[in-house]
Amino acid sequence: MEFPDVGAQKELAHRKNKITRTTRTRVIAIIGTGEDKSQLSKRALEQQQHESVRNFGLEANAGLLTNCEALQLLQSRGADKGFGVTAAECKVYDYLVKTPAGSQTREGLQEFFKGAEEYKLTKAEYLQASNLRPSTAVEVHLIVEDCDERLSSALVDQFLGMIDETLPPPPELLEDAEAQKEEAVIKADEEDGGSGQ
Amino acid sequence: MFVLTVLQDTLRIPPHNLSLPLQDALTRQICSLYFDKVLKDLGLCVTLYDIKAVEGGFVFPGDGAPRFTVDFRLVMFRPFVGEVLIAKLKTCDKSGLYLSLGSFFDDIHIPEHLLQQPSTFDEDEKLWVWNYNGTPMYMDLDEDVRFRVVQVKYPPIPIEQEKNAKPFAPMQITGDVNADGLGLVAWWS
Repeated sequence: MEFPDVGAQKELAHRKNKITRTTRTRVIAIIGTGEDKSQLSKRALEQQQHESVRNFGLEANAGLLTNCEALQLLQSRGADKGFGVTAAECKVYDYLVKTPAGSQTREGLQEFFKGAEEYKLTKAEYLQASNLRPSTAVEVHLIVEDCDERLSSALVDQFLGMIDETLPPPPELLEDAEAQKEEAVIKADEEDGGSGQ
Repeated sequence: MFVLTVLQDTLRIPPHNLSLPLQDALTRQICSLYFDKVLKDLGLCVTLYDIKAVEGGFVFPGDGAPRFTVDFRLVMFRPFVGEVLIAKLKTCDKSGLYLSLGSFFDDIHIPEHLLQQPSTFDEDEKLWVWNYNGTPMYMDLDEDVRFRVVQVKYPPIPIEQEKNAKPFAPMQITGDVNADGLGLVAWWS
């Protein structure tokens, strides 16, 4: 039994600019996580990958989001306060706060992207650099494809230096650094107190 | 890791939500329908980015609720092939490692042929060990692992499942740990 080519019909409708609600056939395949009941139509199962995307999304890829932007979005929805958002969003928020994105700001990110323009990397590579915040050359080689051809080792070091300047270290490292500073201050106080007496 | 996807859907606002401002009512409906659900080939829906357009609001005969045609953007968790991510090692067995991203995504599998070579499975400790130039490097549980995404699969829902089978994972990520810089983060810092 053959199903009509839904994807082609939709394309024609688009081109003619006569999209009415009745001609737009849309198949939603929502697959739940866990024991949720799901509604699947036969067509969704049998169509090719690209067609299934065209059928229930207008645009599958409308832009990449850095972890920082996703984090700020969740914050604005109230994930840090814990109410007004679902438990799932809270889980994502808790995860993102511990990544390097947890200590980044919009302005810092913009500075990073401006400074990184000269290295001529792809969007995906900028995204990964801001999400992972590489601190060693090995990590840069992982992120940048064909790194040996595109960036010399001097440029890689320069890139790492720029990252160090523009992007703050991840929250855990910041906490460790602060804890170390406090310990040093306490030690200095003890010594002063001891010598003062 | 996160991608924006534009979707269009006909949302039915149940009458008890009609006292809310329209945007809030639509957000609630989108929340119950889409959040924390996997959409085939689009990924795991995390949250709503914004509502672009709303049309309609017609009440059909026999139904007390208005239906709106809404264009909205969702934030989807959908790593691209080749992306490098850091996840925690949850369990491991002979077939490979099982990682989880925070607690919101659990189905990351590193098959044994994509581990750092040469790696062996230690039966006594039930852990994978990487033999790096003679030194055994253990992959302990609960460690951060850096891996690269090889494939994102959306298996079809099984019609029948055994009683003790693992709960069905609608989105499965396969990764590899087979390059310089990949593996336990502690190895390379």
